[in-house]
Amino acid sequence: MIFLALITNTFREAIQKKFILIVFLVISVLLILFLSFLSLESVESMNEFMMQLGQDSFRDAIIMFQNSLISNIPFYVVFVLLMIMTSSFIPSMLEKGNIDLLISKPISRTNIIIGKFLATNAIIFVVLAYLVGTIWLMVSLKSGIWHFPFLLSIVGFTVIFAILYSIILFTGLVTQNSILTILVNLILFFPITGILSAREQMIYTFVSSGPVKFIIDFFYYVLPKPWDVHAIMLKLIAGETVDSWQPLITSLVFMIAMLALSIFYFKKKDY
Amino acid sequence: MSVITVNDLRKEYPAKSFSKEKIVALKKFSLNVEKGDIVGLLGPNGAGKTTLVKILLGIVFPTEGEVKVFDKDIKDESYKKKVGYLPENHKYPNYLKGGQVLEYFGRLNGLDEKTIKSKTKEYLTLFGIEKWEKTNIKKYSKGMLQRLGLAQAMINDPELLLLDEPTDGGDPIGRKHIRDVLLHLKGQGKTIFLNSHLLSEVELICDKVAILNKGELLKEGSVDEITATGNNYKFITSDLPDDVSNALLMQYKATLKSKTEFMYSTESVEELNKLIDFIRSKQILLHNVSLERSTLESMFINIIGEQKEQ
Repeated sequence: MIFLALITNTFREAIQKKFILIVFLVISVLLILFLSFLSLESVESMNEFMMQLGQDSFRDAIIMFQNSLISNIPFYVVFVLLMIMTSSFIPSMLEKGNIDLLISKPISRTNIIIGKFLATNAIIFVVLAYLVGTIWLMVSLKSGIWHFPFLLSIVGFTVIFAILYSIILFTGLVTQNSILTILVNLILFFPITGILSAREQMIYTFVSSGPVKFIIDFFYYVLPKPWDVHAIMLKLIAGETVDSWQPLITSLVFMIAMLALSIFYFKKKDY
Repeated sequence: MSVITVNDLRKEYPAKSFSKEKIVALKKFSLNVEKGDIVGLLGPNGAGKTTLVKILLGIVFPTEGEVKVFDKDIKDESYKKKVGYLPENHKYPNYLKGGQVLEYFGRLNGLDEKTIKSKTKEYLTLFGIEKWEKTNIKKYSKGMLQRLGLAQAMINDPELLLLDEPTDGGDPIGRKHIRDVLLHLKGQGKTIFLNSHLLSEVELICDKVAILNKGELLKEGSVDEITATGNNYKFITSDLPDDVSNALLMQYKATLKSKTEFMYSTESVEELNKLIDFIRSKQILLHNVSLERSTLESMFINIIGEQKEQ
């Protein structure tokens, strides 16, 4: 009942702030744009489509096309929008007169944090289900190829978001400021984890010092790896073998550690 | 039965920037509240009233001392099921409608949907805002929000109500309505602990008062005990002739206020009756004899003023 209250309230907050509607609108525009490029009515256009993607089999071409839709920059625009949308949830929960009431109820501080975390990820799951589900449905209806593993990306992206949201949660608790929370997370999400994931091509080409490499590797293993988890997800969708689960496991460990740290901080703080 | 037990409570807040001194909000504070009491906590701004209420609810943690609610240490959060709270300047999520506010807090209290529905209807009606159930709270006046806040605090049918400025923002009729509800709750055996700046209201509602300043408990007792100024009796009579006035002044050490009014101070009921016999023997009519009291407000100002002088 208590978790239900937190989840429904977070949904109401997301709808009221109209951000979720903006996200749905952006997603819908992106879908229409993608669809306008998808012209498979004639045999010539199918051949042209396969040649463009360098695939011999039409099925492979469709799967590759679907995967390219969730690997491109527009998808990450949506992801950033979701991060911006959810960054205000914790600071608004901590506003004076609101947090006092929440803590005064028979719900532990641990459950408040877990409830808010689950509620936010439930919203993201719904948004992603709409985005990915619609892409899948449109491409499948147009091509006649029903590639069900593509739907795994709903769960995959929700997991990636949950990992990143654990940082949003902690920074929101500490700073109580939406803008700072967005900034910290955008910097961490794009430049830092991106560079660390591509450290061998981007840094090690120029740096040969052992200690420096050790420090960079240390940060790589400690920090979340959204890009590498994304790559694992794409491999799973394509039915390829995953070489290493390390990025997913260490990112999940990071998420649990951030959640534990958030709970610890929240449990000690006077409001 | 003791509902709130506070012993040697101390609360320190970290120093503000550029200052090394910690802020002491409560110093060795002790208080006991019994079941069914309506207790008013009085004090100027910064006295530590809100800190005390927040400690009682686990919103702020004590630095030292013992705090029990319903004989349970506040670390055991189960006591909160029996507590209702109205914070000062409460802020409900402004995307909610009146009924949704009660539904949300009812769920947080662990109530089932059926109870929430019936309690929502009951309390919105009790506070006269049932027609606004489906209206967004952005459109509520301050007084309506305060009544909704009280309904929220009562949704779980609490045994203890902690209210911070419960009549704040209300017009005189709204304030009286809230007072009546609180007295009705008292009749049901609920314990109410309230912070208020409106001392005249505290005087009307509360059985007991605790006066707090700079984190210290200055005075505690029933409203009668706190407002009593000693055994000063006020006499209102028919016109006093000069010989009687002189006798009152010289013999009885009374203080004349006018031709028809004087004050007499005594600890003895026999002495009081002797004076009445004397007046009656002089064929003077007694219109009224009453024990003089101070108002809570003047007592409060005196007590706080005395502490400032010290």
